[in-house]
Amino acid sequence: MRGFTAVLSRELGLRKAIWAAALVAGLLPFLLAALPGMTYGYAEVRDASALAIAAGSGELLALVLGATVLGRELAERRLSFDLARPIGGLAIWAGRMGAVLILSLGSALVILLPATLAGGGLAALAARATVRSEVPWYLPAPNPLGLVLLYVVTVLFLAALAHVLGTLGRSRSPWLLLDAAIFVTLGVVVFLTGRALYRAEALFGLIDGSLFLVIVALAALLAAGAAQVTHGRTDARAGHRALSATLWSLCAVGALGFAGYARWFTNVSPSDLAGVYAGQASPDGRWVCMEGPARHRRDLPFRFLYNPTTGAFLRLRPRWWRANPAFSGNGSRCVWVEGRDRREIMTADLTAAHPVAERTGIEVAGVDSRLALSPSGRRLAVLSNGTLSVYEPDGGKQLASVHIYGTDTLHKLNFEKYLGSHILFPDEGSVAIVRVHPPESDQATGSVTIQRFDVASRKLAATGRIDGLSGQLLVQLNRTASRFILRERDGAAWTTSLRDGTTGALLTLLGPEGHAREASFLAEGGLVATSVAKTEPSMLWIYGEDGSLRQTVDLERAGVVLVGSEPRPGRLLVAVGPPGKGWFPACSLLEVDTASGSHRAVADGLTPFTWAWWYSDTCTLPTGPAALLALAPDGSLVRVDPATGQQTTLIRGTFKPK
Amino acid sequence: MSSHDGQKALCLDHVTVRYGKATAAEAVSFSVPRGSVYALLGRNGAGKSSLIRCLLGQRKPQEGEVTIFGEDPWSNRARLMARLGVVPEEPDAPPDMTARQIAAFCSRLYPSWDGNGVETRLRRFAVPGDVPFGRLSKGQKGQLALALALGGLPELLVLDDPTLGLDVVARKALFEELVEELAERGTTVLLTSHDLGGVEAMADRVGILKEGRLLVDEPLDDLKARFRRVSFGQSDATVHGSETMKALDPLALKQAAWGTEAVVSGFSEEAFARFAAAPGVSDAEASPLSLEEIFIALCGEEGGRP
Repeated sequence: MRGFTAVLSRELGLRKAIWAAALVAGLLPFLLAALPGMTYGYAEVRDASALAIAAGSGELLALVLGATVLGRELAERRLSFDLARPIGGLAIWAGRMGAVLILSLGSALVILLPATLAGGGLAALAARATVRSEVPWYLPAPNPLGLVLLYVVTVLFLAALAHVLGTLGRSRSPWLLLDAAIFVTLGVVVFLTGRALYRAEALFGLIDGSLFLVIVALAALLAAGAAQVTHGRTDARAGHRALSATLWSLCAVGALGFAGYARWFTNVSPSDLAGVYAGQASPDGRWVCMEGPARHRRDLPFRFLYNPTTGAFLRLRPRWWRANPAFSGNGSRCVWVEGRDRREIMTADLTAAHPVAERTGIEVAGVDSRLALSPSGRRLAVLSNGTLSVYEPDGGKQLASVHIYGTDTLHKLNFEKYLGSHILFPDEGSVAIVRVHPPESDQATGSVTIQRFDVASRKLAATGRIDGLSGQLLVQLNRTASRFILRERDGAAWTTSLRDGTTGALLTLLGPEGHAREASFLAEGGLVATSVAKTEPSMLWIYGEDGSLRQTVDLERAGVVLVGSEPRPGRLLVAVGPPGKGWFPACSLLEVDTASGSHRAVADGLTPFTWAWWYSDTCTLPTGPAALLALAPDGSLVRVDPATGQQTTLIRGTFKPK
Repeated sequence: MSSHDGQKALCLDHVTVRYGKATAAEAVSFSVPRGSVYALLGRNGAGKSSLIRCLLGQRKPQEGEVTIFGEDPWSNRARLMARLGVVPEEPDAPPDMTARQIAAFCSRLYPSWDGNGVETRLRRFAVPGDVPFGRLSKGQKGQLALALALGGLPELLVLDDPTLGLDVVARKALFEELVEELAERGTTVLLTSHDLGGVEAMADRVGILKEGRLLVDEPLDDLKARFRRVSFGQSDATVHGSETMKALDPLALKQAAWGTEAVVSGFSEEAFARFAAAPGVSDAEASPLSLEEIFIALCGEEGGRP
């Protein structure tokens, strides 16, 4: 410590002139503010320029002094004076670097001093630099102490970097080529790793990893500079060797650590999920697409194709605002959109035990894309930027294309059109398009238009239209597009009706006077509607394919009612939850016999998986293995046996139940 | 380690120093007893400074072992430097610091510091205290370095060619200072110098390096006792290769009109008497050699064998 303080005070004493220069520089903001033609006020210009000059000169000094305070003596082999004294190598290095830090930061403070004494507006400027809205959302909220700490670290980093670069540059050793080669190699590793995280949408992983890299790089630079003095001493060759070995070994650890971290961050399996909060099932129920945040990954959501029977999975890489995955009618194929800058439709063969993602070569232009597969999965309809295109996903051949609506310059409007447009590929030859046109004002009315696009003739035909609609409008079709459910929300009241899929003609109102809350199609063609959550016992209304009421079921308990699935023909898995609880309520699961209207309790404390489904173009209840899936309040994905009520946890969630 | 006991101030054991492919010193071994003055001599580039750097813990030898007071100077440099005073070949210090500032800086580093002694010596050497080091003459820099080296009351003084570039007066003052130090404190001294006259007056023991190898390592008196210049007349050329001449271990023979002059490294009274009485030898005379003459005989163009 004695050696450190001696070297530190000596280096500071040798550079006393810097303080005087800083004081002179501190007067410059007054001159700048007094210049004619300044747009802003005198005090504002003075304080802003004082901050800028102080910050800039501190960093400049760190660079200049860092490169010279020790490097020059090392290069000129003049370090023997200190080395011949009872001063440890670390103290020689730390004393000088400490002086660089003090001079750089101290001079910045001295430059700020006159402006602070004159007006004290610096605090306001500093406060302005900490406004949350001026910092990207993904970065932590700034605070004055954090900014000061960031500046100190920046100055230290610059000084250490300048010292190492200056020393390497002065060495003029042929080993510099090896240094350059290692630098490039590690740079490539870091770049590829960063790109992988960027492409995986792992923004927080990228931020955390970058922070780790900066810390490691700073440590490597400091350690390398210290190693050169402590191990190289007057031997330039040994010094270079010690510097390079320390620098690159630590940097390699950092780069490989970053790569390992990125791999760990993105290489997530369903068992890593902290819970499931969204999903969708294939029509045959063999596969589900599910999404949830991964544990210890800063809540980064991951999406999987998951086979609840075998546990096989395929990790997808979608962005949340892009198209939801689409399944073919027979459940043999799934398509989704991947990529950040270049968005491409991917496909997976779900008949394989372990599906793999395959590129289709079909790119989509906008962020607002809707996908629909034909029943066989051999044809794919894509609605993107107002244009409907039909492809063969195998090979990516385009079969037909038609313009549906104009692309607006305002993205918001375009997005609304996207949300209100539904496409379905009910057979191999045509695509059904049902578009909702919501009222543009409270006084205006909205409409629904129905079109068919014939793939062979490439003709788009309008087949139906519903006018005079009010409130919020929602449309969901059955799988053949022969019927759709229209829901109009006017205030708190819902009017739900069954419509003809071609003309839009009203077939029947669902629920008493159309006041059903929700409705879903059954596998054989009928449908089931639910009552609005009230304190009275919840009700189900079962309708035939023609819209006639077949059965009314009194569930004999009050609350939110949700029809979850159709585990087998004529049997529904229905949940009744406490009213007012929105997210994963602990419901009572009931099995309902649609023929007799009888029901029995199956399990408690679960929510059907359909509760968390993405809003879809269709609303046919899941069958097959997916029909047995439910979510626990902690986000666990659970398989329920309706016969015994036995529960098997497939994915263990760790959400905190609300 | 048995040879590196407490009686030795420093010890080198088969030390080899290389710079890339060039070997500066090869398998050099010698030790310096406490309280003695050891002169390490050699021509420029013989490897003296490389060995000094190893001794001061500024460089790690490629092979061999170095100890100072029984400790490895590479690992324990800072601690050992508190017991050492060093005058480097080219005295250096921060060029903007004055002699007084440098002395004040050093005073903070040593457990015991003879500030008065430093002041006195600087005055005696006429080194200005308020002139930046960078503006001092070469002689003044060397004198300041010596004053600083002695200021820490060292147990071992390492002087790497301290007279380099000094004029006669400064050189004399430096040696006087050393003699005084030795007389007062019995400090161990390791000295390299080209001023062999000055060395001869001080050294107890001498090591002579040639091309990185240690040719000589023995007490100065012994060295001087076995080296003689022998001149003789001869009537027969076979005298040069005779057994009596070989017994004197000649390093060089110089033929002149009056006879032959030889520098011998194995002189003894008996061997010389036998040579003088040998057939064909006449007027044989033996005269002592100065250290400088011995050095030239060993390290000059024709010399080399000890």
